[in-house]
Amino acid sequence: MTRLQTASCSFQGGREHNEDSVRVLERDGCCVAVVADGLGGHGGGEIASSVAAGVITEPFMASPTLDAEAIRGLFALANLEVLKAQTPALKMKSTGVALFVKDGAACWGHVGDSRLYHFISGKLVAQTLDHSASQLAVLTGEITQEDIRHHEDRNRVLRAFGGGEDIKAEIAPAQTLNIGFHAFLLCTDGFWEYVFEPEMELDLAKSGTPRDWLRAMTQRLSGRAPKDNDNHSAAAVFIHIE
Amino acid sequence: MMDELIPGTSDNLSELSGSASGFLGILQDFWWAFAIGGGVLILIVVGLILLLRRKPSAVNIPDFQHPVEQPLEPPANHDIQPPSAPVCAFPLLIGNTHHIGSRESQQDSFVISDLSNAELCANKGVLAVIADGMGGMSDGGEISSIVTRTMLQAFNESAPTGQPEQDLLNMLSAANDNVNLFLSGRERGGSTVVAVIIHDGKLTWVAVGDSRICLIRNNALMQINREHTYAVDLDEKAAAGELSWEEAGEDPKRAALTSYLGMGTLGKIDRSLRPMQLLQGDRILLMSDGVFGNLSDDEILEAMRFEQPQESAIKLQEMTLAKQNPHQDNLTAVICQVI
Repeated sequence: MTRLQTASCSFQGGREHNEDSVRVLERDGCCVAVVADGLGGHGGGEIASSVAAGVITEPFMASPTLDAEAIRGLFALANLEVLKAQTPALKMKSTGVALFVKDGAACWGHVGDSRLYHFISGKLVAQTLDHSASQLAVLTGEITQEDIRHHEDRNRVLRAFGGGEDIKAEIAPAQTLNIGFHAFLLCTDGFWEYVFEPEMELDLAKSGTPRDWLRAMTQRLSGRAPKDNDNHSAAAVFIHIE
Repeated sequence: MMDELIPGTSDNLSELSGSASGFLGILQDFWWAFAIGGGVLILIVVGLILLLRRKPSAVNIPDFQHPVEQPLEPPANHDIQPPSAPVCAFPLLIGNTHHIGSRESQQDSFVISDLSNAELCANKGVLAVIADGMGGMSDGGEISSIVTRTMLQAFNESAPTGQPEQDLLNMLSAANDNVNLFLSGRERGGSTVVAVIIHDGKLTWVAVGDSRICLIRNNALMQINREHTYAVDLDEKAAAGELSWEEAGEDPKRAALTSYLGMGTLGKIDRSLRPMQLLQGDRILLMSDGVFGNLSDDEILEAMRFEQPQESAIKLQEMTLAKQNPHQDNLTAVICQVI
């Protein structure tokens, strides 16, 4: 038996516009959650992130499948729609990370530096790697994973919806979730920048619902981030497999 | 003519008889002197006999000192209480500091369970508790001591349930009941509490009030509990845009506690619902506000750089007292390091 709980949040932070988008849909043991961070400014980023989030979530819930190629197709479609929305003046783009859950199994994909974290029994077991210059520096041994948060190239995203015809989305193969408590956190860089991974575990340990978890982490962020901080958004999913 | 007795000479019994009759005469005249002298002689003899019969006392070898709960009366010497022997049956090192600051009385209390008890550590883990009695109200020190003693006793005596988060909640409830009992008929009082159980490398905690529990990992200081103060509520409202940061910062009630033991029914509690896995090298730092109220996060991290937790605890105290705050609060810290 599978029990699903979801929650989401999105904040403007210290910016003039909120260019993040979050979509979470759930029905009959199926769930899709998308967090997207629009890039481009002047409100164009909001269009890009909103388009990407909508294109990924709605077709999945209409016909849920954890087939990796089908999901890759959704990402390609989202990219196409963002490209269509661009104008000569507004070449907006968007990152995106998505979680798909069906019948006790999960699959996820991402493009850019919005992240997915997977916790089993409260312990962080996996997270996506950013498509960014900073992540490359980690992979080459130039800096550590912890240094990303302060790295000078942190905002240089290498892949994004609307970035070109082939976005090279990274899709993880579907996996059956073992019996136990699973928690997923999807978030934009404005969120993970100010919440450390051990803090995600600490706040998860004292949270009975995904909403409590997001609230606890958001409170940390508010106490730490500068007044002009970026938009920050997140979605949380609890899955109890019995 | 009477024959004369010539001294030093004696020729026969008659002369001795003569001598004897002379001695008796002296005895009759000076009997009291002989009595006193005889008594003194007897006393001397008896004293000598007793002196010779006394055996040397045995050398007292104290029993091995296990970590003990804080005594009810604060020690006269307010220097750092050295930890018990670092050898323990559990892969944990402990450091602690406990100082009166500039206050007239010590209202902080702390306890650490017995690390040398292998069975206790295996079955239940290690317990560390700090309680800060509320100043400005009566009996703060006694109240905080009730909290720590109650929780330690419950930890030692209760059967392990396999759910440390429920165990801590039960211990907290018992402590709150005892504080309320103590306060009945007395004026208002209370105590904060922060308590952790570390068992099988996993952390469980409970916190009420404005003392703190922090995790130090990879040179990052991360607060575990969210303090129950009006300041936290105000800042939350400011972050949500419900009031300005200036209004939040200038509110005179910022420092007021919004939850503590001794307010009757337990109010807000910050606690873990599930144990959290710790890693080798992690430090769990419990502090009363006398410590973090005077040191920045960077300063606390600087103190944590020492290899041994006790060295770090000493450094915390040194750095705090070096601020020379004329109103320095009682300060207490316990550091648990996973090895």
